[in-house]
Amino acid sequence: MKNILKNLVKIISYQPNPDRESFVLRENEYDRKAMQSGKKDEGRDSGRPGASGGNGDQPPGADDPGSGPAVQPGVSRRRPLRKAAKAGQKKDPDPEDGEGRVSSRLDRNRKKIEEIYGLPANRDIVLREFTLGTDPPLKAFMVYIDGLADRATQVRLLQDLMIFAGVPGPGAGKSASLIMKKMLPGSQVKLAETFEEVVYAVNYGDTAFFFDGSGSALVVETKGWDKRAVGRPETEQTVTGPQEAFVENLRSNTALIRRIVRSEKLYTEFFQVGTRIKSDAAVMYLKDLANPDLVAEVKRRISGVKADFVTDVGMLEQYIEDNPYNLNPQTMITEKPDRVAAALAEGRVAVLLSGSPFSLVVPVSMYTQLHTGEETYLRWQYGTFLRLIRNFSFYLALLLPGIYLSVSLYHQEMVPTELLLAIAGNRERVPFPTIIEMLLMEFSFELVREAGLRIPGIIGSTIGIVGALILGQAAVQANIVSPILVVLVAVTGLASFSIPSFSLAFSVRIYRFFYILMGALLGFYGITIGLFMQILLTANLKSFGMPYLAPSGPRTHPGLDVIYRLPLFLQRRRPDPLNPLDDVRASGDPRGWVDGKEGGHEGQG
Amino acid sequence: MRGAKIFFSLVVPLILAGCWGSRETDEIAYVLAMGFDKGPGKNIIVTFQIANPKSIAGTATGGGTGGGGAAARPLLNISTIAPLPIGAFNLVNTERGREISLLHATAYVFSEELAREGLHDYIVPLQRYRETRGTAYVFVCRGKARDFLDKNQPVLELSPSKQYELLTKVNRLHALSPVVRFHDFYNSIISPAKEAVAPLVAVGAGLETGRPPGPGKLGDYLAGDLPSNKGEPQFIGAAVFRRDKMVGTLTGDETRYLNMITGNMDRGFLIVDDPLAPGKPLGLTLIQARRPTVRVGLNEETPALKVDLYLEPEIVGVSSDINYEDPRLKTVLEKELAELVESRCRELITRTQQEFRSDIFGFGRHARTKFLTRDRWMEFRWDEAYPLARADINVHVKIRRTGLILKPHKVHR
Repeated sequence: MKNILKNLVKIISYQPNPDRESFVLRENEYDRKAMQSGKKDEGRDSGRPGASGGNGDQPPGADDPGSGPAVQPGVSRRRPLRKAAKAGQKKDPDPEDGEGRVSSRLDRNRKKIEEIYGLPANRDIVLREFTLGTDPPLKAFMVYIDGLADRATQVRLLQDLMIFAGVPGPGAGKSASLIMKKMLPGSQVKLAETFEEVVYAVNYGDTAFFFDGSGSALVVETKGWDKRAVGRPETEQTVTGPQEAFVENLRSNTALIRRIVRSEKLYTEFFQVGTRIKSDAAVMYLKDLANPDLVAEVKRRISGVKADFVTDVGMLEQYIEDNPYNLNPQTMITEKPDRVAAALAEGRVAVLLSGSPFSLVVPVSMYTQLHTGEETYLRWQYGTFLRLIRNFSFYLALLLPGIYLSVSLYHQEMVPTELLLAIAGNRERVPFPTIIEMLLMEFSFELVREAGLRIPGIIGSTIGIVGALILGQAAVQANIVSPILVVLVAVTGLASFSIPSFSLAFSVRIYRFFYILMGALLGFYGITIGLFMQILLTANLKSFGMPYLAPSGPRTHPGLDVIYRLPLFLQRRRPDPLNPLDDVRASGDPRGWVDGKEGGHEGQG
Repeated sequence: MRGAKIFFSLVVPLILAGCWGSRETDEIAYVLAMGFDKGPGKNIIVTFQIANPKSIAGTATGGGTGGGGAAARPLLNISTIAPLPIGAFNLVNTERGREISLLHATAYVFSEELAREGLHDYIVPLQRYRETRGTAYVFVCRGKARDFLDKNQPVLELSPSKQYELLTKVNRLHALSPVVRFHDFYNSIISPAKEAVAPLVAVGAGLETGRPPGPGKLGDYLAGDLPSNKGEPQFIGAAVFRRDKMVGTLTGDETRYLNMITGNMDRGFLIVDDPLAPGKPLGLTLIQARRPTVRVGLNEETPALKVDLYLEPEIVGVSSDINYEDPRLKTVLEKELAELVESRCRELITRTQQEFRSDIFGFGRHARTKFLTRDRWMEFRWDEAYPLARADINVHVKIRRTGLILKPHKVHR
């Protein structure tokens, strides 16, 4: 009896996990310490956001990617923000002391490299020893990462060093620079004094050479990994205009832009983003056009990013945008080099990130996000027509469900009698209130959209259409929704697809639910309140210092390329809110031939 | 704390102003037309014509339990007796579980009997009522309004509200009936400057009962007398009011001249006697070239009305084959036509002065501009001055279009 009770208690009470698994991921040292040392310490730590800034303040040298695993094995850096900062400071002087510098002794360098990369456990890293074919043979070794470096180039380099080397042996200590000058045929070769430089280059596919008796290493550019070829744009399809899209390779991307903007004034500046794992960010702008303050601000923000790891330009956007709490996207993300080129020529700044097939363009206004670039390639009447349709569909996607709700719940006198009776008649069999009906349908539509994206392969593209059709039809037949609502939601969905900016379409989709709520609660009055609030929020927004609703938010020079797309030869000024260094695109009529003034004469003479 | 403040300042207005006025479409009975008949004592019989949305939207297939025919009827008439139209709402709601809504009521039909006793007590409360549409139409029905609403089941249109809309649109083509919106009617009742008219409606008596129209007249009938299908609703002629009481009727032909003087006529066929070949009919389309100019002089003892009408008729049918396209003959026709229109207008004005003593043309609006203050104008007593007024009518006729024939062939007989 007593046993039964005991067993019962045992069943319903908590028992620690029996050690069935061989491995349990235990709390690390700092977590355990924090738990033991009591809650007051923890509370103080978490209550101070400045503590996290402490980590950011340390110089980037402390976060030597190679030293991380070697120096503090098994220690998490997540929790003890201040302690880690202290530890980093203590460790900081080391590189200057000489340990971080390349030594003149080959065996020391070799040991250091082995330590940094965890050789021989780390099999991706190849360390090859060889002897130079110089007069007194010189011992050397090279380091590269298998798969990142190009084999053919390396073979050629080794050939040059080992076989064809006939130069008299250099004096001790100067071998590296001499070899660089006389023997290595690689196009991009540089001297590296510290291991940090060496490791950064090797991590990015370069090959490092160490020579006996030389206090510096040679880093030769041998990047050569598999990469995707430049293809057609996937998310920004246009009928006319260039059909190239960015790829994941940063250098290819900058080249794609530079191929369109053939100007020596096109500057590309590189920054390293990421404290633990570094990515390259490129800032591109036209030196004689982009406002220097703007360029400086972009550079300041990017170099100020102390994020752990940034893989995509979309992440970078979130670190550098002005207002992370506003729904509206404050940068333009595009995958088309021609759009970036056009933006650069207006005085904007583009940011690219290694590994990301997209580019950030800043600053942008809301109107810019409704452009695709295609309008400019088309004749102006067609472009204007496209823009008007797009602007109209923007409002449709934003307001249509809300307006329908407020009309059918509050303002029934506003619609023609026949239409109202049709709405009412179709709704007679639907058991839900209109708002439930609407939310149900909107949710289903979002579901179809999301599922269509996630379902792999060929099914994915068909499930969208088929799902929507069948769902709508069946829902109507089952008297769950009224047919007029299906039409409405479908139109709204189509309208939101016609917004070219993916991010803006997202914000419109979210705002739409807000308007559905306001329309159902307060009718047109609510929608007016909502619009008013949204306009205030949006007008308050800035994208890298440029007002988000310019040129209409603050009135500036109107520009002929905002809502309409007037003829190109009339667009003689650059967008005013960008404040470029050169405001004027063309001082006279760009069609110089019209009056027979310039074009004709120059052509003859 | 700050967040809570913002939250409450946003949410409290929502709750206070909020969702209490919301009504689903399936909670409401949409009244399309209302009829008013005289009831026992001081009461009136109010008839609501309620739309059946299921039938109109075409979703009423097999829905009814047994009475499938009843479920498919697009309209439902409910009558009740109440002292004021508003009171009838609650009484109807004891029968039908849906809120009565006048938001889409497009017609208010008053019986002639009720109209002759005065409509003030029904129009004014409706005007004050929140849901009444100022753009609804007002009709006066010869006979019972309830019978008219029962009979008026439009065949071509889905709902009577569309029928009323289209009737006023098509009125542009014949001008045989005035177009009076609820708000105009209310204004005419309260204003001394213009007396009210309302289109006359009735159910047709049949093809045999009608008498043929006189020469030079088209549609010289009152509603109900027009020879046509039996039992069809007819919208022709006008009821004339003095203040809120109906004092007489105008036939369709007279109404057309009323519309001409008030500038509401767009066009309309007219068949006149051929001036050069008496006995032969001559068809014309009367087109009002521009709005008539009206001047009212108050310097003499009696008001002097001066009306200039501008007509540009188009010749439609000449059965005598006389070449009226010839400029000389055209002037003959123009002169003849001007005399005809002038005499008709004069007859009509005289009739309103002597028989009705009611300024249905709104001449008072022009007279009103001669006064500086409203008090002076009210002291003047236009309603008493109008019957004594002298009317001077000038009709300017210019035939500009002669149809597709420039010179008729003599038909060989």
